[in-house]
Amino acid sequence: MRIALINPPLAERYVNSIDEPLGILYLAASLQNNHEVYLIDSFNNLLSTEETIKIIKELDVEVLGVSLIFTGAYQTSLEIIKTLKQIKPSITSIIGGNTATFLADELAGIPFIDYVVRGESDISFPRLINAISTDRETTNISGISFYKDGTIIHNPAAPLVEDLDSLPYPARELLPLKNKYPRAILSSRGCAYGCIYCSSSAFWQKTFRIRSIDNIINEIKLLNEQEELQYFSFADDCLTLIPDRAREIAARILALNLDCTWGCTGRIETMSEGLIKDLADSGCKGIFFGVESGSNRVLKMLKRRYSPADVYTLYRLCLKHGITPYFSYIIGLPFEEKEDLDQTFDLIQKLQGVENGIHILTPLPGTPIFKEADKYGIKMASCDITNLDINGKPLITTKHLTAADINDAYRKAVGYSLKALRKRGVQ
Amino acid sequence: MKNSMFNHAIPWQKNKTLLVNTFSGAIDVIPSHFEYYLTKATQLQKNKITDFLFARRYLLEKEIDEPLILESLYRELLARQRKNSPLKSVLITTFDCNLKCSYCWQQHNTRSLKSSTLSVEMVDAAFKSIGKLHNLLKEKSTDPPVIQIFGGEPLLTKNKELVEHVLKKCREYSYGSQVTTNGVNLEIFQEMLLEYQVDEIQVTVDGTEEAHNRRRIGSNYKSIMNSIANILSYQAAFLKLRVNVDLSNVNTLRDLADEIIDRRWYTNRKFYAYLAPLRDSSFASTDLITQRPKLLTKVLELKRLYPQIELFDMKGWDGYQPVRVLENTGRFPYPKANICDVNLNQFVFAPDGKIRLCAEEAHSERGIIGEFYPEFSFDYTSFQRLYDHSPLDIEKCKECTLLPVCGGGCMLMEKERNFRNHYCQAVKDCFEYALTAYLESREENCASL
Repeated sequence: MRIALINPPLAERYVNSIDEPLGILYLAASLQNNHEVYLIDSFNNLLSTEETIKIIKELDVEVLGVSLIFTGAYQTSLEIIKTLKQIKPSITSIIGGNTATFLADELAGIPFIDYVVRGESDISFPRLINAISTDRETTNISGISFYKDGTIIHNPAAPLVEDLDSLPYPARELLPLKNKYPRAILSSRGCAYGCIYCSSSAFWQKTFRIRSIDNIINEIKLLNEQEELQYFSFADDCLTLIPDRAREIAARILALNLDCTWGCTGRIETMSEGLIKDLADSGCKGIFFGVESGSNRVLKMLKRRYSPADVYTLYRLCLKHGITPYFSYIIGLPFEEKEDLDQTFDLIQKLQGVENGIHILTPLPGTPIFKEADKYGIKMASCDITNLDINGKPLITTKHLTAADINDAYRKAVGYSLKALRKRGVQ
Repeated sequence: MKNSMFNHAIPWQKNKTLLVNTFSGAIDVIPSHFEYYLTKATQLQKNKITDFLFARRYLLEKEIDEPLILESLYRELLARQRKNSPLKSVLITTFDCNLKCSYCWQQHNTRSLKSSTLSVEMVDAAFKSIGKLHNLLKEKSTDPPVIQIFGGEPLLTKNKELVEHVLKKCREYSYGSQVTTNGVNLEIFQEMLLEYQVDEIQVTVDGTEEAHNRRRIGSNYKSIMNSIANILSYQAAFLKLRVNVDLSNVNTLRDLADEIIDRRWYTNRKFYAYLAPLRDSSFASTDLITQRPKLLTKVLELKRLYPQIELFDMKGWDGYQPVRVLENTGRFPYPKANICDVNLNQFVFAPDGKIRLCAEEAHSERGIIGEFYPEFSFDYTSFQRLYDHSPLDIEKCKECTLLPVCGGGCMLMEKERNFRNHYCQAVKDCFEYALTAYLESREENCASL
C-alpha cells in the first residue's frame, strides 16, 4: 500500500528547534519492507497546511497517518484529513500521537477520521495497516478507536513493545532534507515520575522501558558511519533516571572516540558531580532540566527532592565541567502564591548566562491537571484545543492567582530570564 | 609616583567616594579622604594607602606613559576589530521617504539634493567598486562583504525593481544582505526579501500603536507588527526591531514589551529588539542629548519595575555601554578604540555617485573619499585620515578620565563645539548614574543573599 505519514504543521509556528519526528520514523521503519511509505514532515520544514495537502495529493496514497502530538496542530491535522478525504474518499485516514490518544473519543466521532490509534502504536499501527491492505477485519485490533453503527468504539489498549531492541532503527533515510536534522536517539520510553502537568506517564501506561546499551551504541555507530555525526541528542523524557545506566551509556560513547557532542534531558534529583563529569567527558554539552519553581515550598508540594540551592549547585557543577544547563519553569502552579513567584524570579536571576525557559501552566490533554482540575483548584477558561499552549495566554485561574496574575508573572519572568541570559560572562 | 590620567571619582554614600579607573577597570569604594592621595601623588611617601592605590593602578610609577600605552593598545584593538569586520557597503538606494516623522532631521538635509535615487547602472558600478575596495583594505574579516540596503526609505514601491536588482547582485556576488526599513511596505516586499534570502531586516517602531502612529506620520503600527510576525514565521531572515525612544514615549515600553511577549517573538532565535535613544545628527538642537541622562534614568527605573522591558537590549548607549558590559560580564569592556563604523571597513555609496565612510554625511559635500560612478576613483589620503581617526586625535578627549570607555563620540561633532560640550556632559552623567545604580543593586542583592 502507499502510505503517507504526516508530521503536521502547527497553526502558528514560533519556536525554531528542529527535531526528528521519531514516532513516525519508527512506524515507517516497521512498515517500509511491505509497503510504500512516504514521510511528510511539515512541522520541521515549515510547510503550510495547503502545501502539505498538495504534496499528499500528488503522492496519491491509500492510507494517511497523521501524528497529532501537539495541541497546536489539532486544527491543521483535521483540515489536512478532511480535505484529502473530500478529494479522495477511498483514502483511509488514521490519526495517532499524544494529543490524539487523549482526545480519542472526540476524534473518533469525526466523520472523516476512520481510526484513532491510541498510545504506543508500534504494534497496533502495523496490524491495522496489514488488515486494511489485506481487506481483513479491523475492528478487533487493540489500541484503536473508531466509529461504527452510531457508536464510538474504543478497543482495549494495545500491548506495549516488550523488547525495545526488537524494533528496527528509525527510518531516517525517508526524511526529506534528511541532513538538516540534528539526530535524536530514544534510549528509553516512559517516565517514572507522574508530574501533574505532563501526560507522558499516562501515554506510556505508567511504564518505563529501556533499550540495551549495545543497541543504543550500535545506532550511534551506524549514524556516525552514515554521516560523520557532529551532534545528537537523547530524546528520552529523562536520560539520567537511572544514573548508573546514564554513566554506562556515557562511558560507551566515550569509547567510540567520536568527534561529536550530544545533549539530553536530566532530572535534578538524579544528578551528581560524578555523573556530570562522566557525561561531559563523553561529549555531553547541554542538559535540559525542569526546575519548575524557585520556591522550596512549591517544590515540596510537587514532591521534588531538591531545593533552589541544589539547582544553583547543579548550575555551577554543569558549568565547571563544560556543560550548558537549560532550566525551565512553570508559572501558575496550583499551590503557587505571589511570594513563591518572587522566589522563582530570584532563582532565574541567579542562573546567569544560561537559558531559563518560562512556561505557563496549561492543562494539556492527558495530564493530571486536565483530568482532575478541581482537585488542584484550577478553573479553566473555555478555549479551542489549538490554543492550549505553554507559551501562550494563561487559560487558568488557581486558588491563589488570577489569569491576570499569571500573565503578569509570566511576562516578568521572561524579562528576568532574558536579562540573566545576557550575563554570559559572569558565570 | 603619579596619578593615573583615568581616575574618575564619583561621590558615593556618606564620606565615601566611588573610584573608577576606566583604563585598568578597577572600581573601589574608598573613604573620601583617600582622594587627597590622588591629587598629591607626586609628593607622597609610600604607605598602606598608597600601596593599595598603586596595586589598583590609580597610582602609577612616574615613568609609565599612559597615553603611549593607550595609543599602542588602540592600534592593536582596532586591528583586531577590523580583522573581525567584513567589508560593509551601505547603499543609499534613495533619500526619498514615505514618512514624515515628527523628529526627522534628514528631510531638511536632503530636500535640495539633485539626485536622490540610485540608478541600476549606479548599483552595478557600486558592486564593481566593492571588489576594488575590498582589495584596498589591509585588515578585514575573511567573511564575504555585506550590502546594507539603506535610505531614506529603501523599500518604496517605485524602487521595487531597483531593490530586486541589488538583491540579484548580492546573490550573483555571494554577498550578505541587510535591509534597514521603516516597515511601511514590508508586506509588499516580503516575498522578494525572503526569495533572495536577505540575511537581516531592521524595522523601526516608536513604542506602542498610539505613540508610533503619532510620531511616525504616515506609518501604520498594526500593519508593521503584522508584517514582522509574518516574516518571523518563516524563520529565515534575522529580524532586528529598533525601538526609538525619548522622554515622550518611554512610558509605552512596558506595553510594547508585553505585546512582543504575547506574540511570542522572544522565543524566536531570529528576533532581536533594542532601544535606540532618539538623536539629532544635524546638531540643530541639543535638546535630545541633554535629555539623555534623564532618559537613561527613566529606562533603568522602568526596567526595575517592569522586568519585561529587559527584552530590549541597550547596546551602544553612550555612557551606559561600559556599565552594560560590566553588568553582563563582570568587567569593563576593553577601551573603545573605534569611534564608529567609519573605522571599521564601512563604505557608503550615495546617489551622487560618491563614496564616503559615514552614512550621516551621504547628503553633504563632506567626507568624500572617492567616486564609484561614472568612473571609479579613490582618494587614499582622505580615506586614511578618516579611517584611522582615533579618539586620541580629539583634543578634548585627550585629558578626559572617561576616554577609554567613551571612544570620543561621533566625528561630526568636531565642528560643533557647543554640541560636544553637551554630549560630553551627557556621557559623564549617564556613566555615573548607571554605574552607581548597578553597584547599589549589587549591594542590595548581596545583602539579600
